[in-house]
Amino acid sequence: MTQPILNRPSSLTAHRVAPVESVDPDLELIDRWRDGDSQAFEALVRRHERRVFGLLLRMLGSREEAEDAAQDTFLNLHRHGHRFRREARFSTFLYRVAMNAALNRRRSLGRRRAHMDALVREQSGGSALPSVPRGPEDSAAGGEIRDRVQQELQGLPPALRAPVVLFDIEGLAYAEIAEVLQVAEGTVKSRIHRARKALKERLRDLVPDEGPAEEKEGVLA
Amino acid sequence: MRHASCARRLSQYADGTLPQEVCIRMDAHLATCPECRTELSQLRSTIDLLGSLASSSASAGLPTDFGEQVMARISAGEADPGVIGRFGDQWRRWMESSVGPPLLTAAFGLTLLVLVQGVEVEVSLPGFASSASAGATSIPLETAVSSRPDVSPAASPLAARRRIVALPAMPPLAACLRGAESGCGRWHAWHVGLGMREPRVFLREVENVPDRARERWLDELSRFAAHSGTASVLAARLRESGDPRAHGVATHFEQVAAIPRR
Ligand SMILES: [Zn+2]
Repeated sequence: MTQPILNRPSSLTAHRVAPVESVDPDLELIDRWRDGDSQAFEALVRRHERRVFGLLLRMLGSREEAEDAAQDTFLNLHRHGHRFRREARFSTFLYRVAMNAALNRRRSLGRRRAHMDALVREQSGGSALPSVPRGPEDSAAGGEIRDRVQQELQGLPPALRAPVVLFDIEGLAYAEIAEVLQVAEGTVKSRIHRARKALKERLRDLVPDEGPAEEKEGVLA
Repeated sequence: MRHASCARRLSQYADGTLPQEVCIRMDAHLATCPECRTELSQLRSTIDLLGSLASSSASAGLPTDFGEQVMARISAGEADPGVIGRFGDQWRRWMESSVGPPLLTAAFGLTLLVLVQGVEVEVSLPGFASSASAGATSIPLETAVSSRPDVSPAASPLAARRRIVALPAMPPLAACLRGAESGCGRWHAWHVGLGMREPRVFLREVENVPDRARERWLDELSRFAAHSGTASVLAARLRESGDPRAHGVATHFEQVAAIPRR
């Protein structure tokens, strides 16, 4: 069997479900909010703040920026919530607003920020990391590896970073990602592939050159 | 299967999202192509590395009063889009429709009326029909909701059409003014909003706080405003009012806002 160097969290596959198959749990709050109940909006914020923050943290790489972008997200949601149509799931719509907040943030921060990121990378880069991690959760090395993966993710252009974050980290299905990013499903698939290939090169020291010996079985697994 | 078409699909193969017949043909190619096997194994390692970010507790850094901060900024009017933003979408659709232009004058008049009065009403125009759930689109104008957070919206005559909702438990205002430790965030949010909309009313409210409690309460409110990024705007708003009480309170907000976040 192919032994992945890190175990894939089971929750990832568990919540990758088809987007529109059950009643949207947010609709009741949305109706109340549209009827003028601001507490319903606050309840929507509380229900989704952690997921939005998590997504933005993965997109932006810094907690402070993610928090600011999360605030932007909910302010924009309040501002443009009337554009939400019931054909889409609310969480998909919210992801779209959040993704736009992340991309706008990136753009407005501009070169100054890029320069600072480069400085940070220079300072932290080149440090020797263990090449054979045992597991992501159980050690400080796991934290270092996550930091490193996050840092390399930051190096991808947003058009590639967004779909791979939504698929491999947030666990969304291709169709939902297509809706969030407003691109064709085929584009989502090819960008995920390109993003992973680019990351594989950037994370070369963490990705073994040769697969395990029992390759064939692994392939069929 | 040729090498190129196998290599192109390796990500989807790893995700298990390909049809079975494609997988079978890829298996046949993979059995003979060490290059594709290596690539697949490295892609899987990369996917697992990315997956490690999913399992870490990303939301640990989110402040517990995040929702209150958002609501404070909304109360402060930061989410108000202005006429163009609020009506932009409907406006464009409406103008593209055949009923739009003839109704233009009437609609413009009605929009103006609504904004001048600055009250929360629902505007229904036949030309705005775009949502399937209702014959006409409702546009709630929430800009002027200024009722206290502990007062049911039904108490306001303007809110006849708004749904009455149960209010969550929160400490009475007096307790928060005396410096109750918890649950006062909603009151802080409301006061920030009040200060933005009605600086003089707000300053009178400050004056009404018992002397012993005023400084501590103002400290708390300033920290809340600073944390939600509204302190300097609020201070400016107070000064603008020209109220003689404004200077001292505004300075308080500015001083607290100068303290770096966390
Ligand atoms: Zn091949």
